[in-house]
Amino acid sequence: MADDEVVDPKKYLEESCNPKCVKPLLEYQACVKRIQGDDSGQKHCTGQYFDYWQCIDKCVSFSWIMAFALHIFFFFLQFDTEMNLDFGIFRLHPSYLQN
Amino acid sequence: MVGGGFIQQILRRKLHSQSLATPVRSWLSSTKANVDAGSSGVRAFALLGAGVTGLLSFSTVASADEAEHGLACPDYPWPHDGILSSYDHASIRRGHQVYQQVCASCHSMSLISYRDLVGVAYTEEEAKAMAAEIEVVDGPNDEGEMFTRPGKLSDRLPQPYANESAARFANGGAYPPDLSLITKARHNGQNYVFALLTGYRDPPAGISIREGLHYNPYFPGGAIAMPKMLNDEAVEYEDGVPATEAQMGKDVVSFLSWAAEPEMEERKLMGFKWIFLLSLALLQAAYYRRLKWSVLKSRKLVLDVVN
Repeated sequence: MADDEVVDPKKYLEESCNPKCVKPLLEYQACVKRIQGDDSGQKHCTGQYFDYWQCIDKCVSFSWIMAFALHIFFFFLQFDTEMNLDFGIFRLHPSYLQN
Repeated sequence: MVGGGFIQQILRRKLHSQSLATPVRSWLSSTKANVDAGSSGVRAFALLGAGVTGLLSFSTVASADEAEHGLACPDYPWPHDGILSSYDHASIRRGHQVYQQVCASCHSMSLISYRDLVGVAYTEEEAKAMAAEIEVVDGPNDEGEMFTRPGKLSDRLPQPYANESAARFANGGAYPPDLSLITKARHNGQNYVFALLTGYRDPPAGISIREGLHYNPYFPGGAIAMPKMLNDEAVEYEDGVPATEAQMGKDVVSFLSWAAEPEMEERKLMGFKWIFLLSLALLQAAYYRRLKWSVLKSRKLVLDVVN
């Protein structure tokens, strides 16, 4: 079970959700470009930043819900899966299902 | 928005003081009242303009509110969410370990005693051993002096600072809140705390945070005094679970949820039982009411006109 290098599941899910949120990311990058020359300090891209991260968050929590639903499904199947998934919210581990 | 409304009020008052309720038809057709009509026409236009500026200023205020309210946190599927779901007690145990090693240096949990942990996360012996590790100041002895003794189960969890002023002084003016009720004290508390702890990111372009604060989009305003505390492998779990940032976040929020609502499991059991029983009682009551009223509801009235 011991991983030499632990992968933070949230970061992994955020990265895998990137393709789904290309549009707000492009909007944010366009905004960054727009305000690049600004020296007044008044311009910022909080709106586009929030839109992008909201999209990522929604996708991540949905992935977790789907993974959790899968776990419930397998639990009711009485299926002793050899999967060893640790998504941070739950752990699918053979010993857990051996009750 | 406030300015627009104020201007509207002033103009309305001036309009009333002049000619009260000039009918529109006469305003259009009259020639003698042209001077008055012209000025009231200008006033009407000014009113409309004030209204529009009011609306526009409202919209700009709304966009500035985005950072003010913080980024909305998503809803995560907590294992204790369901109508009959209990806490993940292994997670509570790990979460207490995270709290002790990462958070307790700044955050107090002054409403939790060591005895509360017995049967929830630790055995009595383990809790006693944990309590004995701390030093507690106890009441005056026979000589009238305060003395220190090792902790007991009845003692509260230790506080990092003597009082709020000391806490603020040690943290640049910011007070690390007591965490005993934090998941109930914040809107959507469980999801908010998890999102906050795992959501430290680079600020958006154009936003600069002053020295001493850190950017966190979920924190109202965006600038939080607490630095990022959860890093991979910061804690070594007793049960060997890999301590990723998300795992530690989940465990500590489970612990904080339990701390704020220790009665949750009993409450859910009681709720399920009583809602079920009262539903049966409702059916019985409905039947009984209809039974008693059937006499009246099934009567027939004959209207007989006597000739």
